[in-house]
Amino acid sequence: MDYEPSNILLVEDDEAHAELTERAIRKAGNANRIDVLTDGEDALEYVFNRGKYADKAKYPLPGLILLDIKLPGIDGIEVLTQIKEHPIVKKIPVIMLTTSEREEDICQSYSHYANSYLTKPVGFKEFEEKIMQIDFYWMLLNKPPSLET
Amino acid sequence: MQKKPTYEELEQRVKELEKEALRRKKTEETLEELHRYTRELIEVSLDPLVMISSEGKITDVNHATELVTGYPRDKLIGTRFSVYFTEPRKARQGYLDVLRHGHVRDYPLEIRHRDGKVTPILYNASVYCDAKGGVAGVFAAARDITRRREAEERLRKNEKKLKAMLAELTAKSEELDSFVYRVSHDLKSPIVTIEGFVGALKEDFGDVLLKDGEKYLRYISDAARKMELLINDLLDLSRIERVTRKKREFPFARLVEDVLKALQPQIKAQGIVVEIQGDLPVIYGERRRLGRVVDNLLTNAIKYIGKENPSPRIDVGVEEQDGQKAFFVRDNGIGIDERDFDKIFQVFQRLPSAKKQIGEGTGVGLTIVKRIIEHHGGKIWLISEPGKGSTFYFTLKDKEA
Repeated sequence: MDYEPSNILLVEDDEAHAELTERAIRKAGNANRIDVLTDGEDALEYVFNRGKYADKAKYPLPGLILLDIKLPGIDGIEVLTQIKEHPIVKKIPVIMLTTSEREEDICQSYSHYANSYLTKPVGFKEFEEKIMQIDFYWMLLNKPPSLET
Repeated sequence: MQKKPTYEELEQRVKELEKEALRRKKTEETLEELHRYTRELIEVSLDPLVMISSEGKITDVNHATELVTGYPRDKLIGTRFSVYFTEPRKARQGYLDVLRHGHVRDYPLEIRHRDGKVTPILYNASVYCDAKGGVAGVFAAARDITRRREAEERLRKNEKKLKAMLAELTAKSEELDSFVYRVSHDLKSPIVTIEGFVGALKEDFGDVLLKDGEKYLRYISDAARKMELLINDLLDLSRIERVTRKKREFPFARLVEDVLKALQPQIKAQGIVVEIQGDLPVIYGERRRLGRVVDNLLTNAIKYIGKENPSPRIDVGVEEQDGQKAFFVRDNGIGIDERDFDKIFQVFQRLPSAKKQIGEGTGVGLTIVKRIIEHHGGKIWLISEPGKGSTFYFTLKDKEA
């Protein structure tokens, strides 16, 4: 299984939010590559190298997945569930990144083994800072798992 | 040889016989009178009355029994009493109970009319004894409880209807709350975008924006901020009923002090004197939410203290009102007209006077306060007079033992 711990996969259906997030991650400068997908089905094909993402060399497993909850079709919780049921892919940290503060969403995410739950802050500076902190923590401080063992 | 009675003796004898006959007649009349009296007493009863022999056969009935069974008296007498009930076995059991204990009280049975109509009744029965003290039979009085049953049934139906209505109302209210909650979230998302790109625009193109351009961006940003505050308040409002947090006991004074600490800058800036009563009690509830109540009341007191107030002052304390602890926040600010007392607790209601003095607010604050207090089983009200200040009171439920 091809694996690039310094790649980030961002699953976000709101184009504007995706661009803001990507912008902040680039600014932080710790990620090698950021791939943005806009729905749950694509996200699953991507992480399991299926369909148009079958090329493993081209689409290696990322070191971090930022996942929105409200997605068209297959929603974020379902994507999370399938990732965390897979014996290898489940090791990749998945961070829920959403506007929802619903206790139900928070609870469900952790029940399905999300590694973190973060809300998108309102305000340019706040948003940028939070994304940069996420990036700093998960790309630099956190030690990524090896997928071999 | 017997001596022949004299004429006088015969006359005497006749007189005695006549007297005796008269006495008998009188006794018979008295007996008849007594019988009629007893009969009428029995007949006048609206409750079916039945006399049952020690063999379980009917020996006497009143008219009410004829009505409830549909059989005439002569058809009833001599028959087994138990056959007129929907549950003969249970009726016989009741009869045996009377013989065993001397009486039964409110024994439930159902009498079946010959046309099939069933009357629910409660039986009260006692044994009656003959002159020698032996059991002669059972005297039973039935109380028709059809009306009572119907009333009970109506009550049950009404209760059911009420419960259904209540459930519907609760569901509607929950639906509304959940709707507000969802809408608020969907509204938040575009604000993240607006704020985000106003920032990005300033950062990337700040040097080519003219002064007016920057001003316009500030307007956009301010509007988005205002909307965010409003959405957060709506979210809080909808959450009060949906989410209950853990209640505990804590000193009210500490809560007030904590809230005041955060408000110090405004208090200092306006030179307001704040007095907290010394002996405040321990209260019971959700600390964070009650903190929000105190924060909101104090923030309002500061906001509406009046710019020209020569000696601005706020008092926090507790008073005994109708045997209940009424906590209060009192200010000597601009006050509120009595006709607006209800209005200020309604969502999105902002008084024109408040707008003029303070500018825009969300108009949700006091609605949240009221909901929190009511969620705690308490009440909130105020007394106020324009130009003299306002006192907001609230009560809380004590911790249940």
